Amino acid sequence: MTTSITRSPEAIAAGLRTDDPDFRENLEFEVYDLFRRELPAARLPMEKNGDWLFTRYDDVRQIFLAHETFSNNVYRFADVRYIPQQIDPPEQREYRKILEPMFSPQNMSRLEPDIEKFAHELIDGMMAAKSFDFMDAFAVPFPTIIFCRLMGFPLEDHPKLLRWSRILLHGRATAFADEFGLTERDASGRPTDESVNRLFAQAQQDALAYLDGLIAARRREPQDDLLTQLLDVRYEGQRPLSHEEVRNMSYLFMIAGLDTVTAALGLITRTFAERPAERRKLVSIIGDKGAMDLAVEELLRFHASVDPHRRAAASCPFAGADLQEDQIIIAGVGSANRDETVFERPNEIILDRHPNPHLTFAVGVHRCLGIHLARRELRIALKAIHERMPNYHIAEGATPTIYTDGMRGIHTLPLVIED
Amino acid sequence: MKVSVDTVKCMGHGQCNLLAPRVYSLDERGYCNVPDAMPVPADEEKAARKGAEGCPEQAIIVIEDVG
Repeated sequence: MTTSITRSPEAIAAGLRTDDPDFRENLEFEVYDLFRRELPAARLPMEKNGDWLFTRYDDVRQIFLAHETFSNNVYRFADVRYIPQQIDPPEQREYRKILEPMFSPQNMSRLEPDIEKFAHELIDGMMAAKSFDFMDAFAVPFPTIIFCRLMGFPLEDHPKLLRWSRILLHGRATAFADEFGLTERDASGRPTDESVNRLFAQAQQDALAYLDGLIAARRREPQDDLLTQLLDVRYEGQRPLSHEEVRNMSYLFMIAGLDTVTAALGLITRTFAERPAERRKLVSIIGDKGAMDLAVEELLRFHASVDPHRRAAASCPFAGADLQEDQIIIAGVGSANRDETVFERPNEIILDRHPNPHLTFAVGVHRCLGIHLARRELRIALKAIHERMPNYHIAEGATPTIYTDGMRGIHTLPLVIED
Repeated sequence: MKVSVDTVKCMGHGQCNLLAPRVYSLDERGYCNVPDAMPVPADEEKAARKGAEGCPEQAIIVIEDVG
């Protein structure tokens, strides 16, 4: 790779903001290559999402494993705490014991026929339209509707849920400002903090009120869904979960469940639209489930959408950084997944890469609860899409747009199916 | 050849089961569920190694036969 970076890593870190579109689109991985070599603990004074960015695989892995040093209770004074994501062990372990059987591989495999059917319905729509926004036509509705079914959220409510989860995750993203009706802009053209905070507060209030109503309805009339199951389970085998616990779990699922597979599908499909040779390699293996499982892992390595945050539970030295208590740490998964000391040819997509110890789902006690659902959704979607519409490209003259906030993801992806 | 799983390290990623379903079974939470030093049939040894290499937590120990 030819490098276009001429500034020192310290100078880059001094001005770095992960919501800068130029950084995300053009510089990100080059900057990480440099940071891994020369500035593995980067202090980011301008960054809104955290104080430090760690980019080496071993350090990011260690941040996940050392959960006592790097707390997941990131925002100590938040009024709603995501359960179990923002809870530390030992309570976290009890919640996971309740939730893991619900999201087990065995249970998620039972959803596969529904997932497949739904993928094909959406592909019918894309094939009829020939030209469409892939995010609207597939990447957004696909995981959203599957998730509503699993949780027991009424299907007709999914636009509301989607709006709330997008505000809570992407409220700051300039790309979404029009969708959210944010007109006040600061000097750099971004929505003002005040207007974003008002939007957040309203979305949170509305979402919680909605969940309150839905949980009360399930208490009166149980259904065959996850929400009802949460009302039946016992914490430590003894007491039922409180209303607030059920609500905060559902709130987390709404936010985490609706967006991550959407982001992955957008990033992956954009890459395949831009690189037909890579796409043909995928098309050649779609009939082989074992090969597809490996391919999904590799695409997840290449396109991690989230760099999780942790809070320093105490002041301590770590990987050359002098961490102060309560500083927020960004675990640079996107960079770790391309660490050349762990992955050979890290900037290439090697569909049968093995072993592939990527950190996209994290490791340790907080590994993603939804991995078995996410993997199945991605495998089934990628197979169905490339079976039925193996040739597509980005619409001529169009440019995909990205999230431009702390996450990697695609906002719009105009595609055309080739005959 | 035998395999052992460190149940403290196992976090239920399920990669072992995906790579070697006949060697690594899962419990109802999706955690690897094999007895300590479980013997592996000769025709499953390759898959068992692959499953161990694929564990994101490095929780699986492969014990090769000596001699």
